[in-house]
Amino acid sequence: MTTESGKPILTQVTNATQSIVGKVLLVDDDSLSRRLLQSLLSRCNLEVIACSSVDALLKLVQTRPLAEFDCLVTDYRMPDKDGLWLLEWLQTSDPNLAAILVTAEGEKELVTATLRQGACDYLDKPVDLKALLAATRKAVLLTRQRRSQARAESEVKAVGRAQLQMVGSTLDGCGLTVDLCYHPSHEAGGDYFIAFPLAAERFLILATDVSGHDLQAAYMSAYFQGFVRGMIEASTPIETILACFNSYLVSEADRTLAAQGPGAQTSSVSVVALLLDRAQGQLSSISCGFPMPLHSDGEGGGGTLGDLWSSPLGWFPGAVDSPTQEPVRPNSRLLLWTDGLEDVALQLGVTPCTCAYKLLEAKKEGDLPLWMEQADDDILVASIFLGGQPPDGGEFIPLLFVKYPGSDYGRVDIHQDIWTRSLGLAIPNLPEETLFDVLLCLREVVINALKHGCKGAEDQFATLMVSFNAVEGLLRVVVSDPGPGHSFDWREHCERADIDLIDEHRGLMLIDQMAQSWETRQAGAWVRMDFSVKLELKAEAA
Amino acid sequence: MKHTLDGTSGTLNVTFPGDVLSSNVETLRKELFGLLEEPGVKQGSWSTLKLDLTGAKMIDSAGLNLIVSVIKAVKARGSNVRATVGNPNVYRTFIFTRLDKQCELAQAA
Repeated sequence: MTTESGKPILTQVTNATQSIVGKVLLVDDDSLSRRLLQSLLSRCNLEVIACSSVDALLKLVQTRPLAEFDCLVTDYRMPDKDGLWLLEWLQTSDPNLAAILVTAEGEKELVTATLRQGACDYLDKPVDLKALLAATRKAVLLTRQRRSQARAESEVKAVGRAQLQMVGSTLDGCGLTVDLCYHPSHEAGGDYFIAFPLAAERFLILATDVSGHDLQAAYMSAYFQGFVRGMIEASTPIETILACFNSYLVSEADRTLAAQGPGAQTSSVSVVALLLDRAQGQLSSISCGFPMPLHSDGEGGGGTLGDLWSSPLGWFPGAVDSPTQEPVRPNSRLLLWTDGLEDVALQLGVTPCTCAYKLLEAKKEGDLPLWMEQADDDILVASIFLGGQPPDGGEFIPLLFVKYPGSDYGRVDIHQDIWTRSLGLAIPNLPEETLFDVLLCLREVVINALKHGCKGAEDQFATLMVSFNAVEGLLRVVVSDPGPGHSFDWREHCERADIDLIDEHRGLMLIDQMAQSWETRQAGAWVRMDFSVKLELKAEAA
Repeated sequence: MKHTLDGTSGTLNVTFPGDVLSSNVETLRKELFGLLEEPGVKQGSWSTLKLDLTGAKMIDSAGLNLIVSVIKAVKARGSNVRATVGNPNVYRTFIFTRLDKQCELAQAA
């Protein structure tokens, strides 16, 4: 048999299929056409199973699954069920199986519908043999590509499911009260959290964030957790464990960079390790590149664990510092988050603490805030109660925390905008009047802390924490600075401002009137203000 | 900061552009006291300074201290001050710091 060009047709056929091996499902009610197509495809190493109707195919697949085939070639015009019906059925039965629809002349309008039904290609009758074989080869390759991709996606999802089960899996019955929210940006990610008892009243809490947010990150994260747990079982001090892993990562990075050049991707692990000794009331912490956790005393005060950022594991040799220690109060709570949350907070113009608060609140409601859709990194947030049981009367949970250098005195308007957005995000139904009072008093106290307490210096920091006790309906603001404060009788100051009409001290008058209660310590270098929001919240609920 | 001097009613009208805060108070102070020192104003026959603060959504203690300074300066020349605020929270701010006892305070509808 030869073509119009005079070349043997089988030569062309072989070239067109390029020796591809596969199994073709052929449906054509015309026996002559069916036999011809089957014969040609078979001579090109393609195994062909032919059916004379759609119903025959449906019967066939009861015993031979579609996954066995690499391509479907079907005639369009057939009695009873036609080719388009078959393509529609294929979309639900095996959408990865590529199909070719054979149409008669004048059925061009079918092409759009055909492609919409997921067909890989279409051919006009009489079928050009070269085109048939080229289309078949393309369809076989497409099916394999789709199935390979589907398998990979399925495996990634399986890893993601396993990871979701593993993150926080040690928490049940570990003796700590932990609220946890983990949100990988893809199917699997590199953030991780574990907490488990080492002995009576002693716990290890570990949060990690592996660079990247893909399968490689998930694998490295799982490897790291296993490494730590194994060495902890062998009673290795946590700082030794971290130093060992740092050495491993640094040497791996050196090897990778030497082999692949300076642009090669290497792994790093940000980690915070916390050792809680509840009996001794001590918390030891080591942070390597992890955002500094917030330690709240449960009464509205607190600060970060540590002041200086350290590099993550895998960057430099000797990156692991000695643990720092601080006392734990009965109602102490730790709030920690991975840096993905800080990116989201920046986008929202609020503090990361606010996002953490809101995320954990939403999690309790089984919800996820809409703004989490902006997250393009894995996000893990954990709130750990360090005492035995959280108090029945509620506790002050931080919803806004920031540290400002004294030199930020001139930026207070910008900060006030962030406070406004943060409070609005954390407590959306906060009455406008309460919000105004909180903001104005905050402004007064923060300005005083930056201007006088920190003396406007860029290396002196004031801290601000706003916490909410939902049970008591109290919003608590605590501002502290490192200054010596100054002793004075504030009531006498207020009276002088009022009676003598002196142009100062009105900030004190405002605080005294707007806050439900307030107190100062350390000669005014520490200020606490409480604002009642309980009645307003009840009214809102009603 | 806009101002008009109404000789007929004996009123100096000053309109603040918005909030009066620590971040802009020095600019406003210079402008306002510069105005009070202008010969036409200083020697003018006005007896009431009307401060229009209806554009302010917040006045902090630094802003209130400016108002106090103005009240003192105006009282020293034997005149009085009338402040009109729009925002109810700003009105509360005046009440809380007892400035309603030092000037006539009105809340715009």
